[in-house]
Amino acid sequence: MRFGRSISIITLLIAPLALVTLRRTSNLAAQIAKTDVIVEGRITDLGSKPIEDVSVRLERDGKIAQETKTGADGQYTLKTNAPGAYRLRVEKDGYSSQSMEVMLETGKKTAYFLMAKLAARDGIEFSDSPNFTIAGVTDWSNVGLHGSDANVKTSEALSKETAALKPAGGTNTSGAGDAHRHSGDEKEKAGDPVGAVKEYEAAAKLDGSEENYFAWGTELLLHRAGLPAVEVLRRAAELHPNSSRIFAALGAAYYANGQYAEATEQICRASDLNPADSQPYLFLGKMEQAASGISACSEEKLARFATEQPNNAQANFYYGLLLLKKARKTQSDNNFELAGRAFQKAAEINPKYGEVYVELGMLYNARGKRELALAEFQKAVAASPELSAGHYQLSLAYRRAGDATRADEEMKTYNRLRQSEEAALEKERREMRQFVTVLKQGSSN
Amino acid sequence: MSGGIISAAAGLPSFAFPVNDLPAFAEIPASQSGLLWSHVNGRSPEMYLPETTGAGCAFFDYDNDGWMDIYLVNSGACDFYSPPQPLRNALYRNNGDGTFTDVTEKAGVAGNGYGQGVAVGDYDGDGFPDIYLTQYGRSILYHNNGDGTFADVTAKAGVAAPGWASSAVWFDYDNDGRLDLFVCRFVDFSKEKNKWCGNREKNERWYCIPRVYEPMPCWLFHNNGDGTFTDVSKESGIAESLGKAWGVVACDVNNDGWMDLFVANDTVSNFLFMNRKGKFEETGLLAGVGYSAYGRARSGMGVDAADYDQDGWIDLFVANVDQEMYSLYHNNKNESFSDIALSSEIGSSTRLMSGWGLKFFDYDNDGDLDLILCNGHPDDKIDGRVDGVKYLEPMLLFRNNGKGLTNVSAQSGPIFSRPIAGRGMALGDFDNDGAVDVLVAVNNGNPILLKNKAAQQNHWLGVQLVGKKSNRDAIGARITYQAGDLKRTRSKVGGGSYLSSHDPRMVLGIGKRTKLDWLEVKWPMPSGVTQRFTDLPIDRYITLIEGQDKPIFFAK
Repeated sequence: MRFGRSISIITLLIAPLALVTLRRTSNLAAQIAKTDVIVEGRITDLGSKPIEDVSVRLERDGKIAQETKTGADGQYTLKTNAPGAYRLRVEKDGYSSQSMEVMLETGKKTAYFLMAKLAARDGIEFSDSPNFTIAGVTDWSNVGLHGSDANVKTSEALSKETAALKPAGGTNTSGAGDAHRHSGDEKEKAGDPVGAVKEYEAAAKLDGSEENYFAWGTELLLHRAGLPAVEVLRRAAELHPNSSRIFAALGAAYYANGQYAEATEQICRASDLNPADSQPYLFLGKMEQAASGISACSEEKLARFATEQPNNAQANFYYGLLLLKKARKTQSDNNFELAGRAFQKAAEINPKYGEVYVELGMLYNARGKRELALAEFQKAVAASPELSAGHYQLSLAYRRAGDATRADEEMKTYNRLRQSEEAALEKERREMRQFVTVLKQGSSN
Repeated sequence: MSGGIISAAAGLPSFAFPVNDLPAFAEIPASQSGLLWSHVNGRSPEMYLPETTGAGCAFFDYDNDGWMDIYLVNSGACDFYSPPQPLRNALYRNNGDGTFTDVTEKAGVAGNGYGQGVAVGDYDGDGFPDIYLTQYGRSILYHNNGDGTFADVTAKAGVAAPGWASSAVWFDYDNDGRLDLFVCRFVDFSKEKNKWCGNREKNERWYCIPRVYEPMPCWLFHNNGDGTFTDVSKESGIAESLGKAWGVVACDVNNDGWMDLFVANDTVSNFLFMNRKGKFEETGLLAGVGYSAYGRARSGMGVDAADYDQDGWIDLFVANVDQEMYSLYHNNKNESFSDIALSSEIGSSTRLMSGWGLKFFDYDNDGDLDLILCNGHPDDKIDGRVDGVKYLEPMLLFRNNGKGLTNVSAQSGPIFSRPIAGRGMALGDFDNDGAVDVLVAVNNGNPILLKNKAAQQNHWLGVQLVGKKSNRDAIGARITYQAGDLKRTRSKVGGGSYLSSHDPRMVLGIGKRTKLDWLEVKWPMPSGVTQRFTDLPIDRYITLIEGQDKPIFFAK
């Protein structure tokens, strides 16, 4: 699949204030009032040469709120004290004009650094260019997915773990894109994901190796650019149909986009490519844990996982989850029995596996075996004292049994754990830089 | 009609349906009923959150002629919405022949803002039911003048409840025999506070999840008995809990004679306000009805309470949004509950759905309590964003077969295959045939009136309770009845569902049995008296007045 073509490209980069002050010494910080929003940046052409005299405007309600022109170095500065939604418009005769909707907020971010690249209007065609460009980074806020947090958390976990996957045969490439890829690694570590993704893209363009494509695709995925991640990884899968981790990454990308059926399919493929590797099975297990239905290929792979690695606690755990789901649907005694056995096996192998005891306890509850359930929840908190769900269920079990004092204690512990869990998650999310993507005109979503 | 039956869960006995070709519920078109009115939500590009909520509806007899009338709530002018054409609520008088007439103007109950819900109760005990209309911004108390008209007495009564009010319920919290008013409050919201939510990557906007807005305390108003109310939110302990409340049901969960409240909250733990002799203690989390099984808050909307398994203790139900499953909380008899949704078809049937109006009722009059729900995702931009989740969703009907609740939607009528944006739902017998019918309020659409045809083969007795020492609407009363080998108990709960108010009469099903042996009414506190009745008729409505030995029969 070739990437689509397009004539005009715009790249806008938005970086938080911290990045700006790292790069420039200016007394801008001293001049900024708490209520101001500063938008500044640089306009260049596609060859990164600054363009002078470009009109840069903030528009609202069809009127121009602020405007300025770039200097010889292509730089501009706009200041406003009215936060809200604006349209940023960049134009100059002889160049393609572009605009983008921006949301300017005071308080959290007080300055925006926007760069734009304009294409000269006599048009330069690009082939093999992707249908998107990374327009910048923004805070990970107002997460789109409704419903329970389970899918969002699973998606975040998948993305992280995917990025850490190593190639099946070990790192053996040394190619033309190496310098760019290493530079990308450095930039990601230094907190410049936009720079990193540009490097990875350049690396992949020079040398479409499995390594380069994987780095590019997972960088997009890590920074929540789901659609571009899918696009890049689909291309990668075509070029490298034997790479298990590429299919796993593609699955994670689909999952991030809420396309759970496609996600499962790709991860099942990843597993088939490398059945000895536990990772794809673990991905499937996590997805099944958060999912409503049972997917056919998941069931097959997780059964295989448990069969081929009978002494793997996680294999037994995830298989047990699957069986428990089936049991609940069919209310079949046999399925409950099998699920219970799988959990028990997992607990035997790893007595510290708190999650197993929680599920076992809930299984006993479903069968009306209250005392057995309580015992399992007690094991859960003993094995994994940091697992909040264990304390929660134990609290309910104590209350059911009439032990209000212990019930209160456990609920207190649960609340404490939840608060730190939430705080940690919130912190991680705030630090997460999400790519702002601009899809090219005419490209299909 | 046996085609397309969902196979009953293995292990449960198979069941033979009455042989008839009619669907259990048939839709009565507006052209036939006369309900030519539509809800308008004022959908805008700014996506103000109230646009997702829809509104409520009610079955009640405003003119005491024995026929259930209909009230429908509409949105309207507010800080974020100026309707291009004037919008109003609708009061439809039941003509007694399956048709309805719009009498809103004459009655004076048009509303004056962005309406949310309706709670009907005879707060002054004069025999005519009054309307409390909740609105975003400021609510209205309409006193029924008894002559077909209502008066806005909000200011005098002191129950304006400024803020985003959602569901409300009339119930007697201090057992002084008068109906008090509890009003749910949703989030702290205004036009200025409206946020941008969506996918910045695609610059695609959609409705916010209530998580991004601040929680607020609910209101409790004490009925002073003279047409005025006192805001006792703080004194009673209610205001200590900050929530994002959508639905509420008043019931006695610990059988101590004091009415408790179960409140569904969105992205906050549900509340279980235990009534400690007039002061409330919030125990939702500890009781196991606050969160999901893993200890996570969900988006609770519609609620109900009923002793569905007839063990003498009231169970609770709450509907949530997609990926969360609805919950059936079985009462453990010690102020704690166990969620058994996963062990029943409730869990698997509702995994991807978002539920609003709902009620436990005996739809086929066989004596067991069944469950009906209407659904729909709050966000009209959800299609294509999450696998398997759609904005429009079909209704659900679960039949109680004596061992549990089974999903019988597929074989209960074409309405159950029609995806809609269901929100409020009221139950009522609009044609007085003993088969309880259903009214669904649709977000930004026409309401749906469903006639119940499932109970035709079974016998019943309809009971209207009138309290004298206890509150006039007898909220909190318990009826126990026996017909041969069938013995059942029904509690009269207050409120429930979502933004809506039900027909106050109780229809007691006795299946194929042709004789009702006896019926007992335990009147709620401050009365607490139990009266027993024998020599009762069947297949008609009767009125039982507290303290009077003889039931009053409605003319058929």
